[in-house]
Amino acid sequence: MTDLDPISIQATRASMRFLLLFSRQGRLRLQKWYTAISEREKKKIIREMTTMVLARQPRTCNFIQWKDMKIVYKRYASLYFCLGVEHEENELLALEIIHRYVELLDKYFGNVCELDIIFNFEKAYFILDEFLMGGEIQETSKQIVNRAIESSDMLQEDDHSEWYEVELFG
Amino acid sequence: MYEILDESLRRAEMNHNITYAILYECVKCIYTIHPKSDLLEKAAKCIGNFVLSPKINLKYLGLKALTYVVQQDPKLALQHQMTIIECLDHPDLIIKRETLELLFRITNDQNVTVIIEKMLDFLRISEDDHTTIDLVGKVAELAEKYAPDNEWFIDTMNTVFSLGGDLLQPDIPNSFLKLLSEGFDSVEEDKKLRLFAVNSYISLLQGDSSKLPQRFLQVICWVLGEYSHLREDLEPDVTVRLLAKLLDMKSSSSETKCWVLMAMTKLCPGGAALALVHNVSETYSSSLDTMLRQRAQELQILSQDSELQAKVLPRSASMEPVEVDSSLSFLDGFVSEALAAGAAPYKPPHQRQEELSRSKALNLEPYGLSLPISMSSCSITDRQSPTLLSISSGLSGDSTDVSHKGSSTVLKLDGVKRLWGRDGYLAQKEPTDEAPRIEAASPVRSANQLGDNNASNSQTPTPTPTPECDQEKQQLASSLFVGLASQSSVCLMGKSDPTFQRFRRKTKASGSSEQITNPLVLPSDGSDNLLYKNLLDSPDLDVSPPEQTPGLAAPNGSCDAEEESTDTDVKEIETPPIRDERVTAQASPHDDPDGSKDPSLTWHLPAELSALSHSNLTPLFSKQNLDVSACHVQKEDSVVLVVFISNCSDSFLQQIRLQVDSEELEVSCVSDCPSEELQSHSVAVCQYFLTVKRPSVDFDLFAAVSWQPPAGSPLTTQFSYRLSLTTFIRALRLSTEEYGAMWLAFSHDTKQNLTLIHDGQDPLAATLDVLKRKLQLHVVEVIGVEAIVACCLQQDQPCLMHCRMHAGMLAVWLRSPVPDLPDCLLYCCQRALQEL
Repeated sequence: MTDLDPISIQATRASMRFLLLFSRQGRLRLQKWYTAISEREKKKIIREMTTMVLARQPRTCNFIQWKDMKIVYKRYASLYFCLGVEHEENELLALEIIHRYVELLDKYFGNVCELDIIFNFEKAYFILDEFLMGGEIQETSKQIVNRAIESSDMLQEDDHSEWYEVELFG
Repeated sequence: MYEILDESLRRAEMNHNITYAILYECVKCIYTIHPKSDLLEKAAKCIGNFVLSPKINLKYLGLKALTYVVQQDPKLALQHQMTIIECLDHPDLIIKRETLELLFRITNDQNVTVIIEKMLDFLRISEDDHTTIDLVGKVAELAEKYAPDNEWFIDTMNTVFSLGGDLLQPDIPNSFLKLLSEGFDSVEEDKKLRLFAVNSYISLLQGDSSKLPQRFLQVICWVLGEYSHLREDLEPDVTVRLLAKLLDMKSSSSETKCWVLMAMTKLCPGGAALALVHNVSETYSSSLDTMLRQRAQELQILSQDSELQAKVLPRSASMEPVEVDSSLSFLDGFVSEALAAGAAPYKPPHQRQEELSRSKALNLEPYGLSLPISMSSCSITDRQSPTLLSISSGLSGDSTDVSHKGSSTVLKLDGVKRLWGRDGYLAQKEPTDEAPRIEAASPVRSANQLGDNNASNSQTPTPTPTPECDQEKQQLASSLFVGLASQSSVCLMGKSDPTFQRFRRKTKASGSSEQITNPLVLPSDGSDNLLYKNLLDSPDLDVSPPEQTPGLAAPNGSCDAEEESTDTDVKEIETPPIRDERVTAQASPHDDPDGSKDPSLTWHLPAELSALSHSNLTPLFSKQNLDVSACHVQKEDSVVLVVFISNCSDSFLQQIRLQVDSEELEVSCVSDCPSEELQSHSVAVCQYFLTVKRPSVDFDLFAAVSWQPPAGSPLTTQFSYRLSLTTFIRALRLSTEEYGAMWLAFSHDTKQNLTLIHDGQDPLAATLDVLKRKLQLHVVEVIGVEAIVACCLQQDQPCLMHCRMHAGMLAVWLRSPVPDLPDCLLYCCQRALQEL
């Protein structure tokens, strides 16, 4: 029954399990799950993450060993970016992933702050989906991701103008 | 691989997270692959840098790397031991834990105590379950492996149990107990160990035992039950009381209580604390927990019967394998008694299951695979596109469905506009109704149709549906008006129709020996056909009747043939239907404007051949008294070479022999030339069937004719005759579906870009037109910027062409089963288009 062999099961998992963003007060701003788990489980994980990460001292390691995965977290201003990765993953690489996502947000919003993410969370999700997909990095180029987001923005804008015309004629 | 790793290690000097990540991976890699010493050194240095780095993340990574490495290279850990020690006391728990992990790897019997101590310290402050479990397991492992002495071991295990609590993996206490029971080789050691354990437990129990985890209690019970007799000064009484205390504790789980009762059972012989035991057993024999009840019963009975107890629970033979009679033969008597009394016999479980299922009459068979067998065979059953094959292979069915497979291998493709094949969209094989497209292509089509009809000698109707009626009308109209147009151009030249008529009449009247009259006719003829004059290469058309230049372009070209250019090699120019009518009406000469020989010689063409359009007569040579010329006639499925040997002299010629052969053509003689005598001023006609052996752009025929003049020696002359591939090409009338099927089947193909004829609005149509006329191709369909064309070389060697207008060029793709045919045909197309 090689299907149930735990090693082979692990091998078929994507490298990332979830990505959470929460504020210093423990408010969740973004959550992206790359595995299929129930709502209860998700809530539980979120709770534990927030308590665990927020309890960390400032000058400590960015990597936490938790259950059977590693939590890589980084604090940017008032937001904590928390990425749950598989055991075998390179932790520094995970840090870089977080950093790249922040860079993308920054490029798009221009000096991104927490408010930007609060009010434009759907854009944040779009950008994240352009960058990461199915628990793996999808696009490593910053320009391509930006271009994709910009073009989808343009489509939205065009759409609006059409609607405007429709309304004119009832 | 070594170079790459070397390079990576060298290059990563920068202060960037990513480079460190890469370095880490490199290091891991180096220690995984076949070892190379200098790489290992570099890696070790790298790790050292990591560990010593002030950045905490790097320290973490360094420790991880060390952990990985230390198994192979323990000296490395030694080098950095001070750092490691520091890390041990690091405020960050994560680092600490990593360090412990590292230490775990480097444990040996010398440092085990220290390490375990550290670990236990960590365990005490750890709050995370996972960490606890993990560490506890490690400690137990280490303790077992490297325990320096018994006491320490027992102590450690006690600590482990108390710290690990109920999170302990079950194998830890089990292995511990097993160790105790199996013991070491020396009995003394065993005894000591056990004694010590007993002692410690007694003291534990005498203290506050309420905080002890259940597992631990269970272990204690067992140990005490088994081995407390070893301690001579210990009264079993005491032990029993202690154990009873456990029973009363609220925190004891029923499992623990079972263990306790068991232990008590072991201890009770000798009347230890009888009253207590009695009480206990009575209390628990009415318990709701069956296990407890069982134990209590055992306790009760065995405490009273010490002999039995001794048999059941022998003191010192606890590890001897118990022999079990699995057939339970001792129960046989009981069973037979019960059966005799009317009890139902035993039914094994599967039998019970069957009966259950039968009684309930539920059909528990799994559903068979019921595939939707609505995949009726569609109209395009011949088409085996790759998509169809893949679909049919994906249909995994039961054996019952195999029979359906035959009919369901074909997709329902009605209404599918474009099919996807292995290489992309399958070329232009629309099975659907082409009505809308036909309308769009109708003007194009009309020209094509025109061409089609004229290109082939038979008047087969085109395969497209009703819009054809309009097409035919248009076709007729255009052909009519084409004729008019040419005539009007003649008028422009200042000559009127009657001239034309006259010419005709005259030639009709002339008969076979028109060599004289014709030159007279010719000037007018030539002027009439000024257009032809322009086209013809030879200006001296009217001058020398006998020698005609091969450049005569319009063979059967009457004025009413379409005025498109032709190339030097004579091809079939499409002539309007009117001409065809004329074919039947007049036996001769559509070839009037051609030189003088023609009217006479073609007159000699056998009847069936003269009815067909043929090439111009090429005078091959003329020597002394013999004129040889040849022409080729294109029949539907073959080409006939007709050689005219005319005796221009006044004397007869003898022994005329003609031999024709060719490399790429198969020459078979239809009618041999008369070999005896050729009368003066007579013509011998020889016919040869030509079939293509191997396609080539031009075919050369080599022939030799020998004759004997009456007064002289036999003479032989050789000549050659060149035929182009296009004489052998015939239009192949296919429907689109057939085309599609054939397209997929052919393997030899070639692709090329041809120049488009940018002529008016529809360059594609114009180009196709030209190709059609010159090469006798049949345009199967034109859709937008693409067209599919078919032709065949003789009867059984088709060639398909797919044209697409693209970026001002015509991209053609030819396919054929015959190896060289696509290339040759392509060359002919190129030539045809270039010569415009």
